[in-house]
Amino acid sequence: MSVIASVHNLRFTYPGQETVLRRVNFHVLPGQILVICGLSGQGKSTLLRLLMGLERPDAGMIRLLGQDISTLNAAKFNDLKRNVGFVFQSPALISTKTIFENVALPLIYHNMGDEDEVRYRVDNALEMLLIKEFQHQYPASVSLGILKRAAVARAMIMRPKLILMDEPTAGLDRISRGVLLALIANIRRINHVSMVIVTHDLLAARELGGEIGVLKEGELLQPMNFEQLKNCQDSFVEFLFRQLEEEAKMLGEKAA
Amino acid sequence: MLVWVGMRYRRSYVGQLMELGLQASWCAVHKVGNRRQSLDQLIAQIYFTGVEAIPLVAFLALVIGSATILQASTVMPKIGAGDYFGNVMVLVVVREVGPLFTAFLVAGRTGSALSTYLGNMKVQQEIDALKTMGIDPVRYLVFPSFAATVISMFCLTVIFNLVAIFGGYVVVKCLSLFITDFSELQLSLSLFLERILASMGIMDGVLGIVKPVFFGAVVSVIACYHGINVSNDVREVPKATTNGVVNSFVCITLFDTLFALPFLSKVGLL
Repeated sequence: MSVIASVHNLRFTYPGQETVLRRVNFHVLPGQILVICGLSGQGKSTLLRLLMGLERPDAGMIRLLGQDISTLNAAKFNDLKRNVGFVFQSPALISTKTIFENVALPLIYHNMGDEDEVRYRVDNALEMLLIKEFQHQYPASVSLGILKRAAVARAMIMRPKLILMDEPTAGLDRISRGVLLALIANIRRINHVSMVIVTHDLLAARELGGEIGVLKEGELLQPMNFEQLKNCQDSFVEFLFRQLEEEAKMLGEKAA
Repeated sequence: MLVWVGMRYRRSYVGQLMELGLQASWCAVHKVGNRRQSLDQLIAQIYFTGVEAIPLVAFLALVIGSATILQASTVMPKIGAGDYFGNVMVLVVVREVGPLFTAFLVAGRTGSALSTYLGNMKVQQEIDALKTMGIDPVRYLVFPSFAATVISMFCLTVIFNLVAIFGGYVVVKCLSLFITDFSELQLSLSLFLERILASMGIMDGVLGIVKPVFFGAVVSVIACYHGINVSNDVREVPKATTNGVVNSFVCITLFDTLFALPFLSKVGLL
């Protein structure tokens, strides 16, 4: 089975700061979801930015769809990006365009079909994410939950083989979070797309299924499923689960 | 050695501005992406930079044109320089004030708007989002602004010159009907235009095209550079806008002086 994305001995340091990522290794297979968990400031978002070429690694290799991204020129890398979707933590929709125009943007820019084809594909994506009624609204006038779903729609509109998501559920209430996680799972099931999802939310990681890799002091622990992770003897993973239990307890008390 | 100088120069402020200008110019000849979309963006940008600025440019031109004609037609004959009326009009309005004031206006209005718009896009990760979609921000954002500013600057300068000359003439003629002190303005419109046209040389025509185009390119490149190079901090946006406008003013004035050099050499001063 061909590997969709692979990262080998990745190292990265922001100028004038401590090393964020020391030795990160993982690979993603077709249709697989890899959830990367960790505390804030551990370099989760940086890892996704590196995968998308928004930052340059100090060392190591990133291969996307079989190509070493460090060897690609700008034009070839832009071509490759058509097969990779990205969802930012802040939805990063273009504020001067409507939801529809935002989702249609990559299709129009890359000349992917005529006007009817674009409309059909965007309508489908908006319907799939249950935001068609908001298509003519501007990002400033809709809620964060709708914006996040629009960002997912934009990421999947090019029918990519891989979608990278940075904290897709951050800042959402429990209902919006649940809806979004269900929609993400739906997209993966229907489109058979691989996903790398970064989150600090272990429960979201469990709901998404797939393998969970924990980012600890700049290194990624061997990805495993939720149950295996729960039984993992690593002190950092135990700390994460303790936090999760405390959080659940607090929520229970609040509910009571 | 040359490579070292090139690399060193490329990292400098001027080098980066030149690189951005060249990249934007390259987009005009090397077409990638959706042309219809680029055209729509270009038209929208021309509307903002050019069409919406016409009333302001026309007003300024009218005021400056009237003042220049008034001074030239009343003061100059008194000092025995009445025959140079046309030269003064060409020198002041067409060669200097027209392109310079229009460039200042475009830098203040469009330049600041561009820096703020792009700076906010950068802070809100919208520019990064474009990159992740395989969309080149220079092609998608900088090029339409660059092309529109160049086209608009040229058109606005032509409008400025025409309004300053014709509008100024009409205003001063009207004033001369009511105020006796202005009665020295005896020129008919035909004689007025004849003197101005007689004073215009080929160089004035060439500079009339080159200066606005160049100033437009300078304003848009500086504004876009400061906008897209904002760090991810919202407090940087107003600073970038201020720097963009101030640097545009400085560069425009500097280049305006450089453009005057051929004329100084022509009269033997250089």
